[in-house]
Amino acid sequence: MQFITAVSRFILPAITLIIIIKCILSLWLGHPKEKTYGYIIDMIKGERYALNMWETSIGRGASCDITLSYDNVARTHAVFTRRIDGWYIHNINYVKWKKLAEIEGRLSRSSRKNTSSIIKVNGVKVEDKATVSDGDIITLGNVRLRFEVADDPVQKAGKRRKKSKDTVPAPVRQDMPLYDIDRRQEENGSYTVEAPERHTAPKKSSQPKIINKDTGEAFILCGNEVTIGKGRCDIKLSSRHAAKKHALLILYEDGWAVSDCSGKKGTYLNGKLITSPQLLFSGDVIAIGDERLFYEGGRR
Amino acid sequence: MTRKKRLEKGLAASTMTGGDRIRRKYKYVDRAFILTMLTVFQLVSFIPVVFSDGKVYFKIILQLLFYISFEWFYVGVMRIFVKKVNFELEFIAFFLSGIGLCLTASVNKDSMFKQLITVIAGILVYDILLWYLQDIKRVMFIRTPLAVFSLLFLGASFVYIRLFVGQINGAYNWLSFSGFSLQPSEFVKIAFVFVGAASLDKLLASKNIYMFIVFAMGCIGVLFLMKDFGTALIFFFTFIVISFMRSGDLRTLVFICAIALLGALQIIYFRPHVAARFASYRHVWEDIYGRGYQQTRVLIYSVSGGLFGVGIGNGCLRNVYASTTDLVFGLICEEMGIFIGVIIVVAFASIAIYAMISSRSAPSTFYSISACSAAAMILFQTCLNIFGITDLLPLTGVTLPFISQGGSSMICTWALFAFIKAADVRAYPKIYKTN
Repeated sequence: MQFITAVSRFILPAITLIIIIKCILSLWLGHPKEKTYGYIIDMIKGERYALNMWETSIGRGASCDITLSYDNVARTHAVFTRRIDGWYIHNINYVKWKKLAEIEGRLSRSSRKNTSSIIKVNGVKVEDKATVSDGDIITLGNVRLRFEVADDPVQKAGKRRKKSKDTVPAPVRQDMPLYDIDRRQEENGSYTVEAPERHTAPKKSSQPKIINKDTGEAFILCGNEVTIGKGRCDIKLSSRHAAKKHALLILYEDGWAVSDCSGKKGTYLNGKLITSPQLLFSGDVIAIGDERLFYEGGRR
Repeated sequence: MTRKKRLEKGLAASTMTGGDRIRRKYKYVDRAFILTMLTVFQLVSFIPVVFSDGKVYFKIILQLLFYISFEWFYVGVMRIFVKKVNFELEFIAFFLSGIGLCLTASVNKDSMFKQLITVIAGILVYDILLWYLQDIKRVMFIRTPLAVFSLLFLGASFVYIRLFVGQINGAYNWLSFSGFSLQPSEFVKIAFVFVGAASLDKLLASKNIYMFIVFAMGCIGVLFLMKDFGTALIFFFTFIVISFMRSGDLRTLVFICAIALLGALQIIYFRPHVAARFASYRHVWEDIYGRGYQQTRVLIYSVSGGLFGVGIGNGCLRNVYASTTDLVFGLICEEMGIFIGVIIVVAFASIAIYAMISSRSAPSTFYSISACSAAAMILFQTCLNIFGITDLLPLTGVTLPFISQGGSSMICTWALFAFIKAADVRAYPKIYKTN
């Protein structure tokens, strides 16, 4: 018996050491490699943000995982979540927004200026949360983002995507313009979502255009993006103060907006320096260097 | 292996980076090897228990064989039916529970059976909780009902204990029915972690921790009324960890700590009998036969054990009251040696680090927060126990996770391990396809 005690005094610590070290090393070092599950592409600046986590917050604030520095984006705007049955986007400010809309609706039914917490997936407004899939266009405030999936959990798990009752279906219709939505619903302050209807092409006479005040040239805006600058741009400028690619006109669902991409030189809208994309209204003057551009066409 | 396969394997190996190689090497431990090691450890450690007092205890042999076969059976079933490959956390828990069983059996032969039942119950709770935690929607749904229920349960059990049971060891924390007793505070620990953690969308949508503060203060308040100061302290510490992980706001936490400190000073000032309970702290050598009896015995005997111990059953601490519950770390140091004692502490600390590592890639912030807070809870409890019995902190009478004798504590610690495990994507091989 004494012999066993004497031997066990040394065997037990040795076995303890082996078990604990082996298990701990595996716990610490055996983690699967971190992956990129998807991408968010800022369609204004063209920046690409990788989604490395299962839950990613997005907003203007510095505490968000993805920071978008636009005025129309809320501090914490949305959360992308990767669940077993697919990707979701959550409207973080939904409850707050709903309350605000109720109060505003009571005060004046027609005016609702707060657009900062709007989320749209392919033009369909998101209430609480919605499913998103590869290639979807997501609008936060008035910033358009493109969502790309790098690693689809649905395909991986070999399951069919389940649509829960509380989620808003987000139809992916590439052939359909994204800006023609029944806005009456929105103006009334109610948030029922209707599927976008097929867009009918606007008449040519109502096409928005940019008129160069100095040269008198008119440029009809078509497509989704129009570049302005000294270099290879759609609207060419001759001013030496202009950058090669100075500004960008982007088509939103609310209409055309101007965004600066010159950096230091700056773009002025009606005499004010712009820091984020600004919607254009008929009669607006865009000043680049010493050239003046008129916008004509009205808000959609 | 065919030549083609060998070539493919070689090609895959040649494109691997250093990190990949390490990851592949430590992806999982050799299950059979660790199980064999566990079996050898448990057989060797139980020899002096089975053959003590010149008798052979067949009852203990049967119980030991049941425990060992249960370990093999559990791993086998999980491997075949759940396709699980990672059992590291379970192995550590099996190992620690084995030590607890051995020491319990060596001090009191009759109490091993009860302890064994609680270990099995703990493992069942662990697996049920792990299954429940796999769906985040299900988890988020139960939080509010659980918070209300656990507060009511804690309050009701306090009233019941106050009316029908009375004080046990100076606290109102034992809920006993006919011959069966449990500590309600241990079960509320699980609810505490559940309620504290939340997924990112819920966390950012509410942006405040008021409801959680109300819940935490309710729990801590009832624990104070129960005079269970050790558990109240563990709850407070976990509350700070959870609050920090939820908000990341250090200023609020400093504010909360300052208020708590002021509150504690007030209690000591206006209720001197609370302070009197901790009067022996740092003065244990002045009253070695009275208030400092337990701590001084732990200090003397654990040193006399030396590096490799005096052998199981040969120690003197076993004759001191609560040697298998609160003072069990002293018993390990004396009979199994300080070496094993230190490894056990290192294991608890490593599990906390593991929770931090796995929380970075967890499938939701719920898992990150719950894993870190559960690990912090276990680590803090370990510290409070070990430092308490060695007079580095006041003796508060909390248990050493897994090792101390006691059913509620055992089941609770297994449940907390489920939270730690759930943060690791390797815990659900069928869902996340980690194999």
